[in-house]
Amino acid sequence: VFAYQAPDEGDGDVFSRVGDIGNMSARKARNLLGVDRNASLKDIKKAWREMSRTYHPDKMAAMDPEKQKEAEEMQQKLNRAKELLTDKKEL
Amino acid sequence: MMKSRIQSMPRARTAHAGARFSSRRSSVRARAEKVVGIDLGTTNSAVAAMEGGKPTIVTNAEGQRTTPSVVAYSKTGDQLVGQIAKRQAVVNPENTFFSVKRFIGRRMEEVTSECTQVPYTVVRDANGNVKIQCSNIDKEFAAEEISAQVLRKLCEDAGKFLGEKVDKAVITVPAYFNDSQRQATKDAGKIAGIEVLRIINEPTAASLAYGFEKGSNETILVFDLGGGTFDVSVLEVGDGVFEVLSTSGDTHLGGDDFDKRIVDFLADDFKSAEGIDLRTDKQALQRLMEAAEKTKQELSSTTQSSVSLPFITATADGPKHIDTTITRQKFEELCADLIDRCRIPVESALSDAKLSLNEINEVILVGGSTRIPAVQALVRSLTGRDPNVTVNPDEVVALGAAVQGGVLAGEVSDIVLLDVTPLSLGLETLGGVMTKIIPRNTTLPTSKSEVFSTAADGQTSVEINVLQGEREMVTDNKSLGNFRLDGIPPAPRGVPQVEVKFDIDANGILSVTASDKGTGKQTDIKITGASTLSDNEVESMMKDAEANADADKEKRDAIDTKNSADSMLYQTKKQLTELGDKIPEDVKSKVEAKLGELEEAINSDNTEKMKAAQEALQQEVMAMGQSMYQQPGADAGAAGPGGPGGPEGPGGPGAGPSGAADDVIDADFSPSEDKPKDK
Repeated sequence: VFAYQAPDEGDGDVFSRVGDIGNMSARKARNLLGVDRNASLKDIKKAWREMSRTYHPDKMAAMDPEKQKEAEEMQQKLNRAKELLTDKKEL
Repeated sequence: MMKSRIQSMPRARTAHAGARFSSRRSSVRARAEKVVGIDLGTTNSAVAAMEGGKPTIVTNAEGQRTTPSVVAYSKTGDQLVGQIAKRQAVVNPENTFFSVKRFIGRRMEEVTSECTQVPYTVVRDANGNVKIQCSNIDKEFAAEEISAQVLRKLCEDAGKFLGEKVDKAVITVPAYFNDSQRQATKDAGKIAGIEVLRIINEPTAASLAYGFEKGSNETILVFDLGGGTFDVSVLEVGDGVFEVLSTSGDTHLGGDDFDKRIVDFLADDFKSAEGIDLRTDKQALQRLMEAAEKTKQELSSTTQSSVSLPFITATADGPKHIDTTITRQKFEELCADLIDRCRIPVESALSDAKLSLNEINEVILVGGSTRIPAVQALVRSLTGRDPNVTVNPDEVVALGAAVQGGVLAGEVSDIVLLDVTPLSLGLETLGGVMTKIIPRNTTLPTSKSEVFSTAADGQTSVEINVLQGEREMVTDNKSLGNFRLDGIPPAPRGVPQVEVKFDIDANGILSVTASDKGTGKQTDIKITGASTLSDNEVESMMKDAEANADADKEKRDAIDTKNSADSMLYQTKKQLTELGDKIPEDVKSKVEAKLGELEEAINSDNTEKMKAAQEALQQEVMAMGQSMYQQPGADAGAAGPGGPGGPEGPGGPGAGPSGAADDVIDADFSPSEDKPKDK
């Protein structure tokens, strides 16, 4: 358990932010979802849904933890790709 | 396009093969183990299971489709759960625990207003967590333990209904629950001996039940006003994928608050007339609360409701009564601000989903409080459409949880649910500000990492304070946990690179890892939450609960045995007198001997002896029945075969063919008349 402790005041024992890492490129995101540059928002959503239906960890609930972990990582990537591509479409 | 696809295939193919394998294997598993869906509500709970491919509500032992989320301890220390606990609340207000969901996973400072609304005593433990005091058995309970007792009953009853052991469940929580509250709900399941396969959000569950058999693609808004919490979720349903676009809510708003307004109105009225504050009298308060709930419910279908509470208190002048009428208009006036508060989450959910109202295809109402006409009117005015009324607001959440249970058991394919995190997650950075790492409404599961650095020259350790909430300053958000990464080589500030990774699984539960990129040193925590229980505590509570459940079963068995023994004794004696000298002397003396043994066993209160004596007596009674039939031309009279309506029921083996003459069959045997009225 992590009992709540007020962070020590003023001794600099905190963070400063450097920046994002491991960000997915738009190209990588498109590759993952299997859509091309001209894909519409609808195409992207459709591809993401299709892949989610196949790879979602819920579908692996009866599998060993390793497979589940793998599925979870895959879904995380799919979600990231969708987020990235659909957000961009709006700008 | 094809080329790009190939790159992702190797991993994809493994996963796909896995998926097919899993569905085949789980179809076998599904038959062996039932996964139930549980809506663990603030005031009422419900259970559902997949039956013949459809989610179906499972009725409880009392035959009801919902069970009050109430646990009580009687003066003698007996544990009561559900309707039976609720019914005795008035006479036992300090030991009857309801609305415990308002306290689960919470710290004392978060629930100061809730504490004053309940007649039982809520205290702060050494860690600042909420504990509930039970004077009748002199014990302090965590909210998790009380919820566990409700869960245990729900699963036991479901097991009886379904004819198989139920120990796997999907449990729902309000979408706006934070990490601590989710973790605490999971712990409650564990304490109850249930494997919680998934925690899902209530509005999302409702959408699953609603859209389960619909093939169509729609955007829906779920408006879920329950007993204690309020949630709004916007979902896009299409191609079997249930995608939550946004979620918003208020964890301090629900039906209880509406009741409270009526209570206050009645109590204030009484105070100005009689000078007595009924809220300080626990029994009067409990009666007021029950009357308020009833009035509120009545006002959903009628325009006025009478409140009659005779002998609510007494003064030197004698007994005092409440006898008044509340109109719907008055009720709406009392609750105007509460109803208005429902507006904000709807608006923010829509704006977060980047949708306008005309893009919503369907509005679904969930939770008993959506029966309030003023709430429905608000929904209508906010969304400009009539809400969907095809789903039962009390049952739809449990049904949806059962669908998700079916998905996890492999019984339901082609549906997948992707929820979002309701609140932003981040950590404390220089200046006491929260730096968000995962913004709210991010689709789950998700993982994100960022690099941070030291804030001072030569700093060798960092305190990582994990936060959840939308506010800028640390102090305004919920701290989920605090951990320290040591051993950073001394360097000027800004040089060391510490990577912090946030992972949220499909349950919405977070784990955090921090590693120093220079040294590779890693620290990770599964956030168990500042306000929830440690693994050890959960473990010991689980053992406690199990022991209590065994003791309860024993107690119950003892009561049941005693009752049936009493009844058998009475029945057999009655028969002996009725038949009188028609029974051969030797048979009679045998029966009487066994009767004596049973009586002795009852008097000595020995359950095992009672069971044995009952069985022995049963044998003799059957022999007696048989001897009656064998008497030539005997008038069997009331010598009903099998004799007393004991636990084996009338008509035991003694009723079998015994070469009896035709006239014997005409014997007027009516088992219902024979059974004593057992109170």
